[in-house]
Amino acid sequence: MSGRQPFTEYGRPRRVSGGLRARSTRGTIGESWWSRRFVDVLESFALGTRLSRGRSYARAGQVLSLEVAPGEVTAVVQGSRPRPYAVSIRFRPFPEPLWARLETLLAAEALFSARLLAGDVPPDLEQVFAEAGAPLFPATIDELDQRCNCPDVAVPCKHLAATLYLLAEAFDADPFQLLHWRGRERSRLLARLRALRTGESTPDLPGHGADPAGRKVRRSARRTGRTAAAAADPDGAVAAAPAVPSSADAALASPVGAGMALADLPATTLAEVADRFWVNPVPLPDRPPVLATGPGLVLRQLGPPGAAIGGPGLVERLTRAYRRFDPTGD
Amino acid sequence: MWWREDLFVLVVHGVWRGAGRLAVWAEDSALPPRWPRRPGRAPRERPHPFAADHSGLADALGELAAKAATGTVLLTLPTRSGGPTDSPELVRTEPVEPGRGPVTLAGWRAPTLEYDADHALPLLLAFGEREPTDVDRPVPGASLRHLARLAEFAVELVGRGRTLPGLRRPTATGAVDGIRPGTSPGPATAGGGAGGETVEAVWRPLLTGADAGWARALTMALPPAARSAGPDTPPAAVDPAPPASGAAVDPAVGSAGATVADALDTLTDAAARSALDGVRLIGAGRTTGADTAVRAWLRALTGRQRAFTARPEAIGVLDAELRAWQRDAAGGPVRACFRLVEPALPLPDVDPELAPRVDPETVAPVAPGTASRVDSESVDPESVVSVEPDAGAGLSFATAGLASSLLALTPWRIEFALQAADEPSLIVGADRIWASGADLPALARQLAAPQEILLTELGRASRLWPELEDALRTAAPEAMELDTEGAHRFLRHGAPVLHAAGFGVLLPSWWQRPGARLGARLRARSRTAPGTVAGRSALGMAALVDYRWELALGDQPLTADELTALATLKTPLVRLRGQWVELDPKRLAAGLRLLRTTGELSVGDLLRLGLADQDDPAALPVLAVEADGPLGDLLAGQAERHLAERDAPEGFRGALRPYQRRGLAWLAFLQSLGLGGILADDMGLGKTVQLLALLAGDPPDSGPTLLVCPMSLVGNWQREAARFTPELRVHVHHGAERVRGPEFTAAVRDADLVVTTYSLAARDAAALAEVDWHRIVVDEAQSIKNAATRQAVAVRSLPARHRVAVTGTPVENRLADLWSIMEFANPGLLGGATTFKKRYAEPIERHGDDEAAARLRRITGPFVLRRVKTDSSIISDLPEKLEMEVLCNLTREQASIYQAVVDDMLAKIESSEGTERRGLVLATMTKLKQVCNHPAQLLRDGSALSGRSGKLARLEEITEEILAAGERALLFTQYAEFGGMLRAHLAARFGREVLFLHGGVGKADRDTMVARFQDETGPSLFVLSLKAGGTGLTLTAANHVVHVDRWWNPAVEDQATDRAFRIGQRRAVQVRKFVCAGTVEEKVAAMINEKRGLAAKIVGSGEQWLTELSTAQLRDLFALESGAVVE
Repeated sequence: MSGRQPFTEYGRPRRVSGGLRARSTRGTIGESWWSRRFVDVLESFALGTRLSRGRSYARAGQVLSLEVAPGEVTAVVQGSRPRPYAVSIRFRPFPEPLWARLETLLAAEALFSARLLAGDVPPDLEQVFAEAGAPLFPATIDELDQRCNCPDVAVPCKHLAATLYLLAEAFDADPFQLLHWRGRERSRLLARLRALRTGESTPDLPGHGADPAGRKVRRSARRTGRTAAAAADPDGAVAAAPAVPSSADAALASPVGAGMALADLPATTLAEVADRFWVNPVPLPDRPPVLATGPGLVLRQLGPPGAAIGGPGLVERLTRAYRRFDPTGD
Repeated sequence: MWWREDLFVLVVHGVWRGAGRLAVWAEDSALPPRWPRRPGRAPRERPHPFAADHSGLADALGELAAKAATGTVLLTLPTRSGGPTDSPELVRTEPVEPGRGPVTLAGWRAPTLEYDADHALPLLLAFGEREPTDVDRPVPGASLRHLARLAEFAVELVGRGRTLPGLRRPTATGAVDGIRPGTSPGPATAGGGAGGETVEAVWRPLLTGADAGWARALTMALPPAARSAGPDTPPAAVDPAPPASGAAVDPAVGSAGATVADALDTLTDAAARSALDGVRLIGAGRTTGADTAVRAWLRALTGRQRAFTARPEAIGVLDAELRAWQRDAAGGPVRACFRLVEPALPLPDVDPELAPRVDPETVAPVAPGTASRVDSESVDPESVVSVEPDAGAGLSFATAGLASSLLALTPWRIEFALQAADEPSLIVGADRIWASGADLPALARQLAAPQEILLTELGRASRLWPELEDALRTAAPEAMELDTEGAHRFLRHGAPVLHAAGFGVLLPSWWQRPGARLGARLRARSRTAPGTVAGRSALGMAALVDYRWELALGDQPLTADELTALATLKTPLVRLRGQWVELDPKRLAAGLRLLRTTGELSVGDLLRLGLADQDDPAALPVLAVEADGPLGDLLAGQAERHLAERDAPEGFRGALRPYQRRGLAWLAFLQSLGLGGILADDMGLGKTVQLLALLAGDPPDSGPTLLVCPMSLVGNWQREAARFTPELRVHVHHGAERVRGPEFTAAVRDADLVVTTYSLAARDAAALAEVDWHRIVVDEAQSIKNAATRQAVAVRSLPARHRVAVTGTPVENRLADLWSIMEFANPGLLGGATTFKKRYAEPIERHGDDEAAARLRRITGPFVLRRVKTDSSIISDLPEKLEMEVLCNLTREQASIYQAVVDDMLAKIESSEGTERRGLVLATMTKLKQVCNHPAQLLRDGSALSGRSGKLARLEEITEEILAAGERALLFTQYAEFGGMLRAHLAARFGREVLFLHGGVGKADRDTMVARFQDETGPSLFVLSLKAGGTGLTLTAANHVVHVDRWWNPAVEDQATDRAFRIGQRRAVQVRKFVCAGTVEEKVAAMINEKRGLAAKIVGSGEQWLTELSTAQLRDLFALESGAVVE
C-alpha cells in the first residue's frame, strides 16, 4: 500500500448515499452463532481504532457493493478519496473432492438442508465440516488474503473491516453465502444434495472445483436484506433477495394483512348485484370452529427478527403487547 | 302511555370508504321517496331525497356521534322511477306507490358522519351487540351489521394474537378534513430532520386456515351497500364528454375484496391499539441515534399516533427486515403436513379375545413404494385438526379387559407429507417427494423443487417442535417414529402448535373424542321411589339420594382392578379394549380415590355434578349421572318417551293428541319431582292445551297458578281457558282498573289461574310475591331471555312450588337465552351467568366445542321438552293442514275509533235506503276491518305503526317464532295499502327483506319474487294481496299461512292457503286466521264456524249478504263487545 498521507488517513470519508449499510445499528455486528463465529475470528485479531471505524463505515453505508464468489469476496468501499477503494478478501475454497465428501455427509441428514433452507444453520454443521477436515471458519486471520488499494498499510484496514462486518451480516441473512464463499453456490449445492438423496447420478454441471464460470453473487447497493427463502426456486438463490431498502420506491407491502387472504376473490360490480344491494348477496355460512392457541404463538413461529431491528430484544418487547392481547390474561 | 312512539324512523347504513374510514348515513322514512320529476336526462349526481341530515343522524346515534366528523358521500344506489330504492329495513308508514321500470344504478349524495379507525371500531361494536329485532333506535341496515361482524372478527383475531406489526404508507389522511378529532401534534420526528420520511406503524391481521376462510366468507357476503361509496370529490361538473348512455355512474366502485381487506386491516389495527391502551413498548428515552427508526416504530405501535418520521434509509431497513422476518407467517401455497399413525397391532390370530381386529388400511405403516396411497386422500378440510376415519369403530371389545398397550409391536409414526394449503385433501407423501426429481406433477399444479419445499417446511417446523430434529437425521426422512410418551407429547403439545403455525396436522379420530377418555359416572339411588303420579310427595331438588361412583371409559365401566392395573402402566396412552385412551396419572389417582367414596347427596347436587369443573386437569370428567326410578328416566332424558301417556283430567274439555298426552305426563312428572321445566314444542303443537290440561289436573286445594304472558296473549289465555277448562276460575290481573291490596288477595284466593303480563309482573312484583303460588308459568318465555331486564328479574324472584317456561322459539340456539330461561325454571342448575358464559357459551359458540355442547345437552336435556313437527312420532299425530283462528285484542285507540265508526255509520244507514244503504253497509264493514287491522290504515295519516294494533302485535310475535325456527310464511291481506305497511314494518322489525306482491307488480317481477321466495336462500316473509297472490302461484317454501284480515269467503281463503299447501309441500302447513275479539270479525267468524243462521248465504258470496240485514241486525253485528280491549 502506498505512502501515508495524513489528510486522507484522518480525513472524513465522503458521504455516499445508497451504500450498503450495516443493519445492526448498535453494539456488535453478527446476530446468529455462525456469523458471530466469523466476527469473533475477525475481532480476535484486528486491533485499535480501525475495527471500530470499520464498523462505523459499515453502518454509515460506505460500502458500495459486495460480491460473494467461491474463494473470494470483493467489495467497493468509499473512503475519503473521490475514487472508492477496491477490496478483496480471499479464503481458499475447499477442493472439489473435499466438497464431494462434504456433500455426502450433508446429504446423509436431511436436517442440514432443512435448517439451511429455513434460514439458519444447525449447530453441528460446523462440526461436520471440521471433522471432514474442512473448517468453515478461518482459524487465524492469516488464512484470509485481504487486499485493499487504500493507502493504509494496516491489515485489515477500516475498509476491509467494514467489508468483513457486512459479510458477517450477509451470512446472517443467508447461511448459503458462507458455503458459497467456500466454493459451493446454493443452487448447485442443492442440486447435488438432491441427487445424492435420490440416488441419481450427479447432475452434470460442467467443471469441478469452483462453480461454473466462477459465478458471483453480488450484493449490490440496491439490494440487501435476507434472501427470500426462495425455497421453490433453487436457482433463485440470492438473486431473489427482496429489493428494497430505499423506501422511496417501496410499496411497504407486507406478507401479512387481510389483502393476502382475499386477493383472488372474484370481483363483482355493483350492477351485477343490484338486486341484492341491501342484503348479503350470498348467505354467511356458519362460522367454522377456531383452535385457541396462546397469543404469543406467532412470535415463536417466526423466530427472532434481524439484528438491525433489535433481534431477540424486539421479540421481548412485542411479547408484552401479545400478552395484553389475550383477553383471558391479566 | 299505552303505545310507544314509533321508533323506526331512521335506518342507518355503513359504507366503508377505503383508506381506513367508515361513513354512516341514514334513510329517513319521514322524507318523500323521490324528488318531483324533472324533465331531461338524470344528472350524474343528485342529493339523496330521503337521507337524514347531519343533525338527524347525530340525534339518532346519540353519544356515538360525538366522535365523528360530518361529510357527504356519493353513493351508487339502485334507482327506479327517479328515486333510490328503499332498503328493506326502511319503514314507510305512508304507503308508497312502488316504482316502475327497470332498476338502474345512479349517484346520490347523502350527508354522512365519518369515523376514523379508532372511532369506527367502538361504533361498529355497539351495533354488533344488538339484535336486529331490538327496538332501540336506530335500526342498523345490513351493511352496518355486516361491518360490525368484521369488527368483532378483528377484535377476536387480536385476542388470539393473530396479528403482526408492520409499516405502511400514511393513508391519505390529509385529504380527509376533520376526520381526526383531537388534533394530533403531528408525526413524532425521530432524528430524521428535514430529510425524514413519514410512515405509519400498523398491526395487520394474520389470516391463516379457518380465519382466512372466514374472512373470505365475510367478503362474499358483504352487502353491496357497504361498498357503494364513490370518490371523495364529485366528478368535475364541467365534464365535456358525458357518458354516451346508460349508467350515469361507474358501477365498479371498490371490489368486495378490497373493501373487506381495508376494513379488516383498519379494524385489526384499531383493536390492537385498543387492547394496548396505556401500554408502552419502549420508554421515551433517546430520540437520536442509530436505532431511532425502530424505537419510533415501536412507539407508534401503541396509542393513536401511528405516524413517525425517520431517515428513508432507516425506514427501508426496517421495512425489509420486518418483511423478511414475517415472510413465513402466512405460509405458502404448499405446506408440510404431519399425520400421526397408530402402531400396528398383532394380528387377530394371536389371541382373538384379547387383540382386537385391526383395520390394516388405517394403521399399517406405509410400505415403501405405496406412495400414492396418501395422494388425494380425502380429508375433511373443515375440521380444525383433521381427524381420520374412525380407527377404533370396528374393534370388538375384549371381555378380558385390559389389553394390548404393551403388545404394540411397532412404534407410533408421524408421517411427513406436503399438502396444498388451499385444498387440504391434496396430499403427497414424503416418500413420493424423495423419489421425485426436480419437479412433481401433483398437488394440482406442477410443483417445482418439491424436495426443497419439504425440507424448508420441515426446517421451519423443527424450530417449533424441536423433537422433530431427531427424525431428520436421515437422508430422506419419511416419518418420525415415536414411543407412546412421544406420541402423547405430540398430541398434547406438538400438534396444536404446528397447526396454529399453519402446518397441516392429521390426527386419529379417537383423539378429542370424549368416548376415548377416562371419566366418572355417578350412580344414584333414590331412597323413596316416588311414583310417576303428580302429587305433593315431591322429590325436590333438596331430597337426598344415595350415590356411588363408577369409572368408565366412554360407555364401558371399569373395575377397580382394571384401574389399578392401568395406574401401574405409567404410560399416557393406553390401548384399552381395542381403543386408544389418554390416561392422566393425576386423573387416575383421582379416579381411584373417587371409587372409595360413597354417600348421600341432594338431587340438586346430583344434577349439578354433571357440571363438575372441567378446567381442573386433575379432576375426572363426569361422563354421566345415572339414577334408578323416575329420577333415572329424567336424567336419561327419556322421561317423555318412557312415561305413560296421561289422559286429560276430567276438568278438561277437549281431546289431546297422543304427543300432547305425553307432554302432559312429562309436566306432571317434573312437578312430582319438584323440578321446573321448559316446554319448547314447535309452534302449533298446542302448548296452551297441554298446560291447561295440567292445570285442570291440580287437586282443588293446591293453590293458584300464576301465568305471565305478553299483553297480546292475555285475552287468548282467557278464552282458551274458558273453552277447554270452563271450571277453572280465572282472574286477570291487568289494566288500570286491576284490583289491589286486600281485594287482590281475595281475588287470587278465589282463583285457580291468575293471568298477568310481563310488565305488570315487574311493576306489581311485591304484591305478587306475597301469594303462595302453586305454580308459575311464563308463556313466550323468550320475553325473559335477557336475564338482566326488570321483568326477567321480577319473574325469577317470585316464589312458587313448580315452574314452567313455555316458548316456541328453540332456546338451545342462543345459550345466553337458555341460561336465563333455565334460571327461571330451575334456579342454580346452570351455575352463575359468568361461569356459564366462560364454560359453555364461549367454547360452544366461538370455538365449536362439541364436548361442552354435549355436556350442556346432558344437563339441560331432562328439563327441556321440545317436539318438532317433523318428528316422526309427532308427524303421524298431526294433520297436514292445521287451521287456527287467532284471536287478537283491540288497543284502546282501535276500540275508540271502532266505536266512532259504528255510531257514525249506523246513523247514516238508518236514514238511507236502496243502493245508497248497501254502499254504506259495505263501507262500514270495510272501515271496521281497517280499524281492526290498524288505525293508520283507516286514518291514512302516515302515522307510526308500533304498539297501536293488537293484530300487528300478535303478527310480530308469530312471525318472530317462524323466523326463529328458520321457516317461511305467506301473509295475506285483502288491502294492498296495508300490505305495503306490513312489508315495511316487518322488514324493519326483523331487519330482513320482506317480499310484497300486489296488483301493481308486473308479471316478470312477480315471477322473480316467486322464484326468490322458493329459493333456499330467499327471503322468509312474503306479503301478498289476496287478489294478486291468491291464485296460481306455487309458494311451497312456506309452511305458514297467515290471513291477517278476512274475506269471509272460505273458498277464496282456501285457494290462497293452497299457495303453500299443495304438491311440493313436505311439511304440515299451519294456517292462522286473525280475528279481532269482540268485533264484527269475531261474530262473522263464529257464524261461519257454527254454520248456523246465515252460513248458507255467506258461503261463496263475500260480503254482499251484509247489505240484506236489518239495521237492528247490523247493530248487533257491528257492536263492540266488552272485553275487546285487553290492556
